[in-house]
Amino acid sequence: MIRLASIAIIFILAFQQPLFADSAAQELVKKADLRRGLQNSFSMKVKALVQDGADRSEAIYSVKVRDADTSLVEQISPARAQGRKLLMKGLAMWLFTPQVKKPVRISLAQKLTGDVANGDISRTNYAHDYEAKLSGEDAASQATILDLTANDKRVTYAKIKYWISKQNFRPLKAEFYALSGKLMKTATFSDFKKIEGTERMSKVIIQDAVVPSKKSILLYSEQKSQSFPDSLFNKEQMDR
Amino acid sequence: MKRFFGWAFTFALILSPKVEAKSRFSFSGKSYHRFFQYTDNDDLGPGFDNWLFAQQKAEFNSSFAGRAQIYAFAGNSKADLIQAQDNVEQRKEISEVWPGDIYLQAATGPALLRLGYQQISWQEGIGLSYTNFINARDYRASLFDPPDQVYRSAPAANLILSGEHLSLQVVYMPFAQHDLAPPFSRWARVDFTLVPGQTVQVENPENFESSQDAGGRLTWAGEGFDISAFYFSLADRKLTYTVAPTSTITDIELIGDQKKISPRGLTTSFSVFDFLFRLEYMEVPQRRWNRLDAGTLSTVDLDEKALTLGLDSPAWDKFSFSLQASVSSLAEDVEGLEREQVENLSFASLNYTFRTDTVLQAMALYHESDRSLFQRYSFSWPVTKTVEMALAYEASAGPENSQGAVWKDLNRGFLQLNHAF
Repeated sequence: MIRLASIAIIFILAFQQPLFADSAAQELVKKADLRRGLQNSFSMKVKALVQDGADRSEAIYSVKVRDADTSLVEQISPARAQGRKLLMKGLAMWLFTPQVKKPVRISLAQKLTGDVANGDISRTNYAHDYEAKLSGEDAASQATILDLTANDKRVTYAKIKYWISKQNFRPLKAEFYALSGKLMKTATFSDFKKIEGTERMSKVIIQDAVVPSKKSILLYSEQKSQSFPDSLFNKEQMDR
Repeated sequence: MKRFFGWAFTFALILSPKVEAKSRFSFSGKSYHRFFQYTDNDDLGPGFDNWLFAQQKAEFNSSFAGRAQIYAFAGNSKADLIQAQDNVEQRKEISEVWPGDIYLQAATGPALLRLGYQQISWQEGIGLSYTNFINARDYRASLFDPPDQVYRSAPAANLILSGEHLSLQVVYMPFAQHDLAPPFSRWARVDFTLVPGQTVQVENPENFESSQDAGGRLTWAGEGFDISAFYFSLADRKLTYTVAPTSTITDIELIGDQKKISPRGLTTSFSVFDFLFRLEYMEVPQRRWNRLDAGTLSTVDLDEKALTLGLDSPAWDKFSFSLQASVSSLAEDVEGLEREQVENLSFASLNYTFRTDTVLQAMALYHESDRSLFQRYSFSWPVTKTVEMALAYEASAGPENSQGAVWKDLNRGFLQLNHAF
């Protein structure tokens, strides 16, 4: 009987270890999310600098986020593209262009500009969208490496390898993978500034993994907590 | 018209004393100018047009009583300067100013009310959509021009009640408008050969009887799909014609007429593996059509059904495409036997983007019934942050329509400057 109980305990402990690890990993992702940006109702500006070989382009977006599932992104520059809007509700996303006057359903993984996916700007809460698992450690950068797996196939990336600083839980680097396991692009997070009491990143460099000459830089500014009326996030009112 | 704007003005007056100090005003706009638009029409001959379309957007936004917002939007006013041709010998300049979207908007909680000139689109398809029936269409525009340059804004009261997923839209339009189909229109079926050797050109009626139009739409917008059901009672934007009783062979007068119709149907869109599928179904019982038989013009009421299926690819690295197929049928009861006329319409659009913002686009629309093909190839590139240029070529060709209306072959090339401010 004692022998049977001992085997049972060993068996339970053996299987419990990954659960502890997963829970800790998820907690780590939540802490890193806090350093990637404000989490509840807030607004910010995002400048996207896109480089494709010798070609350069620049766009500025006004982003309004109600919660992890609801956001509105409006392009404000260049002037010739003004008025384009992206509305995200849950895992659904619609694009509104002033000329067409009708929202069109699109996906989070589609490109907004350069190597920047729609979800890179509108949906940035990894703890909400991915199941985290400890993968290893990087001695050079003193970071914990996590494997994130999408909890729904409609989120922006199928898998992410994520580097989080052991010292201050800052996100340092992410590798984004397709469902096939192919590395698509790499992001590095930097320029941390104190915003509403917490140090948060204000720069992301996204590097194409296939074409090295393609790079996008996202610069975050004017991050502040703000509340919005529900009507702002309504598909039928996107032409407002 | 006066009564409508009287109500809008009263509405504004009631709200204005309660407007808080933190109001916001902004002004922006866009203009599209086609230089050297060269048009070669096999009926009218070659010639140059100069075309200008301007949109101004002035916004006044202010919160009211803490929660509601009053939002005045004046813009999208359209000014066309068209140098057109009545015939080979005579050229005529047309300067027009059409109101665009100019409305007063108030929003509180789940309700949004708009009063004023508006374009309202319920289509799920792209291009020539059967379900884009609320606003009248300007047929002088190209088939491939964007909707805001093609559809005519009309006075309307537009109420939207929105929940998390479900929304109800109710529209009331006090003044009906009809499609614009001038004599030099390329592709509207407006010219009739009532007498051998003589083509009668149809003019737009000057005075048009007003109509009380109203309808509604119920929409479910979920994570995986959108679905809408709609019903509208309205005067047909498409005109039908009758011959004046006093007409003689040498002096024929056609009278434009609009019949009340009631389109109803469903639209839906859903995505699978990042591909977007769009579906439209619409029925219009007893819609009025012109019929030309042995030089005699008559009208006939037919049941119309239309189905459209569209597919949009995701925007891959540089390439994306859209495909759409529509089938419509007109059915009539002839001595107890149902006779059906079926039309098929196919649309394809290919986009290739390179150098980050330069777009190469090819669009084609094929009308199976009379084997007419419309094509546009365009190349657009940014010049500055506010200016974009486009070079385009359009061509269309097809045999004369079986009902006697003239379908003219057309070749058109233009350089277009888009400016935002």
